[in-house]
Amino acid sequence: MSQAVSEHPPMDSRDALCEVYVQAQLVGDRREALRVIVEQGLRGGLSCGDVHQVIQRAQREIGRLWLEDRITIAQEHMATAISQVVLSHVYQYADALPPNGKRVTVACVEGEQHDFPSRLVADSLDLAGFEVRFLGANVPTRHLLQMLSEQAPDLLVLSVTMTFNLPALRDAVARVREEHPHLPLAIGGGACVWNKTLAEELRPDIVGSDASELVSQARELLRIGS
Amino acid sequence: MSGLGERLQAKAALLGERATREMYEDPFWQARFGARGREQAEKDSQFHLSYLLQALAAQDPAVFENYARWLQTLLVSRGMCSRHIDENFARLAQAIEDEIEGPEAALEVLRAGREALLYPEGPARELQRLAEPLADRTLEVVTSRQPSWFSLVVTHASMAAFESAAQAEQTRFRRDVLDHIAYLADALHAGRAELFADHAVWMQDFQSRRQAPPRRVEETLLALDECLGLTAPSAEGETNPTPRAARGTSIAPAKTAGSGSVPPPARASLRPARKRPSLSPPPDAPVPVPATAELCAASRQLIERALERLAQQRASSAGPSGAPPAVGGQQQ
Repeated sequence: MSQAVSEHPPMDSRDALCEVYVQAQLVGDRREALRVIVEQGLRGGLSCGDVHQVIQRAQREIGRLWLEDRITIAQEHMATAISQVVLSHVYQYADALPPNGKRVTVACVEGEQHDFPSRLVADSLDLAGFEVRFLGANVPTRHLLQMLSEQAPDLLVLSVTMTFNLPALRDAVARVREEHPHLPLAIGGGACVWNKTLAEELRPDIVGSDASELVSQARELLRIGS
Repeated sequence: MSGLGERLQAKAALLGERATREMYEDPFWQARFGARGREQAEKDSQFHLSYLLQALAAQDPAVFENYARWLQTLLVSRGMCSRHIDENFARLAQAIEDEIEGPEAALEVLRAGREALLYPEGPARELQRLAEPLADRTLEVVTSRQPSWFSLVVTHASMAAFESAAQAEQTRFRRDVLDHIAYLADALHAGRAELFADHAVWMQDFQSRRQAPPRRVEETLLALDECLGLTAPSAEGETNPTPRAARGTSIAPAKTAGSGSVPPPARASLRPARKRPSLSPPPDAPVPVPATAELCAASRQLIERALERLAQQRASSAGPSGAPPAVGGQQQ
């Protein structure tokens, strides 16, 4: 297999991997899910970014299955917990790029409980050489501000999945800009996909539709490798 | 938040409670979704208002449209139909119009949400578009074929107070047909025949508990199929290639000389032989429900599946148990 192919494997191999991975998630087999990702994914020539995409796509499929009442909330939670475990292992297996000297803080806005997408972003940024502080779900804005003052990151990533948490995003953005007017800001998550006018309204430096795109834009914004 | 947003938020509990209460005045809702469904419906109304507020804050109805489509998949998969969601939005809009000062922007967002429940293309959209005339035609056929259905019935008092019992039952029957059509369109869009069959099985059980005539659902679905299958070419795209003359009698209102009633439509449609008699329609027959061949074929498949399930259900409940049939689940 040529280098080019191993760097950009055909989409169908990721699709096939995703299908097998989802099956392992649905039966609750953590070891099989991990084996699929490590043995068939990472050792089969996929990059860490590819594997992240597979997991991201699998999570979307799990979400669709729940939406269509084909699986229960319990199954959905079990599947997501498996992806959390697998992400940790991928992080361990992956070869991170050398540190690029830039620090990024990643957090879900106050009230937002869906932290998986932001965790994927945090891991992707970490493996791309950023120094990441991942604050997880439902971060109270005042504690976020305190963390920003202490850490002085080069970029803040705010994630919001549910549309009813957009007021918390608006509030966080306003208060961050008040206290840290020069801090670049990225926003992402499902609510940003549904609300197309949000970018125009809040004018963040980056609007990420998925982890790899956000990493790419962060590298460009912070002039990594240029 | 805007003034309208604040006014809506201040009365959110009242608005949601009113919309839900009005829906549950119809015994169908209580029977179909029960106490848990009602509790969930009240929560859902608050979610609707929450997304409405976000759409207003963003000055972008698309926020609510996206929510409406997402909700449609969620609830259709759990035993509701798009018509029920539309009714919920409509009642919420009426409550807002009555209770909130300067509600125009909110009403516009809800209108956009109701519009978003229309499928973008294909047979499901076509069926949604044809729902009203198709329900009218089905009612005409069934009224002609089964006049006793509309004379020996028990209706709830509020309707009977304003209309004759027969008219009230016809109104209720037409509403049931519109529900059938909505479930059918949803099942077509989702590619899930079981959603329609589950509804038919539940409806048969519901009606039998209300002492409705036996086989009422089956006869209604057959009439629905016949009304779709007997239609003339559509202006849009490919149409049913079967010549009208070969597709049996017209579903037009009674115009046959001397009969005084609609001639019985071709019963062969979904019956074992599945052969339609070669009867010519009356020359002045209108073209009430122009459906494409694609829609006719797709609908027929789903109706056939539902009829099979109804037959199975009838066979299994012929014993002494009389247990209610399983349906496709309730809202979560």
